[in-house]
Amino acid sequence: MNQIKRCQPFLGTFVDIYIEAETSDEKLIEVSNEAYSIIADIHRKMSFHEASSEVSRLNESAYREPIKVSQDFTQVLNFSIELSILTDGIFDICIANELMESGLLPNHNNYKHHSNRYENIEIEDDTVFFKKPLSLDVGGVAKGYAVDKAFEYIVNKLDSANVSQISINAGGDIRYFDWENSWVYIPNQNKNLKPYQLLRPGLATSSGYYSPGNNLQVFSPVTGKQVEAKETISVFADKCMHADALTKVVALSGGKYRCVFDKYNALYMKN
Amino acid sequence: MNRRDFNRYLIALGASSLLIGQKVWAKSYITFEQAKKIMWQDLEMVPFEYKMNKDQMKRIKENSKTRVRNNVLKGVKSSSNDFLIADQVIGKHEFIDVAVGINSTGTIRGVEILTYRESYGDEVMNQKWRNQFLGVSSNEILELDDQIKNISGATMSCRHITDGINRLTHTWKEVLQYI
Repeated sequence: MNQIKRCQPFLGTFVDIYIEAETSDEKLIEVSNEAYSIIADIHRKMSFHEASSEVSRLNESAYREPIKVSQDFTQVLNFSIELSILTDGIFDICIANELMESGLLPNHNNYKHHSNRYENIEIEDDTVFFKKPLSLDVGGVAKGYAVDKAFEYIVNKLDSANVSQISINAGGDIRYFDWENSWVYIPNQNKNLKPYQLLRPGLATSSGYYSPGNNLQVFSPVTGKQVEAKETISVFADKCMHADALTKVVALSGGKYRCVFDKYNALYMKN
Repeated sequence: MNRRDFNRYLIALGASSLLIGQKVWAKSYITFEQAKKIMWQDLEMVPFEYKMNKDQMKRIKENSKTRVRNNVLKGVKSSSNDFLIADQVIGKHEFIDVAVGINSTGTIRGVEILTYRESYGDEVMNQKWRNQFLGVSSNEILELDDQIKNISGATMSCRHITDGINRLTHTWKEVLQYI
């Protein structure tokens, strides 16, 4: 059994790829290189900080004219809007304005930002139009989406009979191949690491470990207020993108919207 | 690891968290040699070491707006001036080892994290106190367990890596391209 363990900086964090499979070194390098290219591509498309990204183009122009976007972007948008509808707007990617005002997101591009909500996004096939000016930030889903896409690429490239493990970890957004036999560390309220067994292939954890004051900070699109929590919130789901987005739903609504968790086969935990 | 060993391990983990001291969690990825192979394949490269003078360091600091901690540049280079630099940046508390590939034109070819280190738990609460121990080798280094390879919920910004890459791009402009 051969293995590779690499880590590169993308999506504003560290992306760790681990593959253990019956294959050559060359194949492991080739497959992990391509997985990083996929992540780099999503990083370029979805970065709020880069003026040339699809997010920045939409924020600047989609109110004036319909903008054509990539398939990756429509997938992220469609899921985000679906989750906004299911949670009565508790989850909403149109939150960049508030994130900037509260200092959680820098205003690199010097746009005038707006606080209109997801109801104003129109998608038709691969074209997006805003009925009112909006400020999108897909930071709450893009990492999970990137992890899923790179993971599925690796799984398809290798013969699964020869694979014993694949894991991708983008700063706490995790997806595993052999998840039933896998454990991860999650920091608790005191920021000490505790081991937990995975309950689904995908996991996302939100904690305040790196935030000011070490508290978890999530901005509520409904109340317009920032919620602070001491605990760490983890969501297990089949897809990492679902887990990633649902951590915000838990932070902002507690145990509400159980049917949403059922829909995505998700479980949550606070510690 | 079987269940009994794992339970023992958990007890050991719990006990160790009661000890006073700094616990640094380390995760090792590929080696510098593997990073060379991934980025430059079989290209012949020889080790080099270059000591920068104070003026060079000052100019790199001014242009990259990043502190230059180390005056020694280390790594391997090819006859056509391609470089792979062994560098270190500071994460939240600890050093992270990085290999940065720089093409002969000064563009970045690739970035690989070699060893990631981070402190967790109560021992990092007093950051000022902790800072005096940065990089000190007497820290207790715990390799992440064979079975538990990942930490979730510690979304650390890679801004320090981005700053480090920017510093090396300016180091190439100032120093490396003339070596």
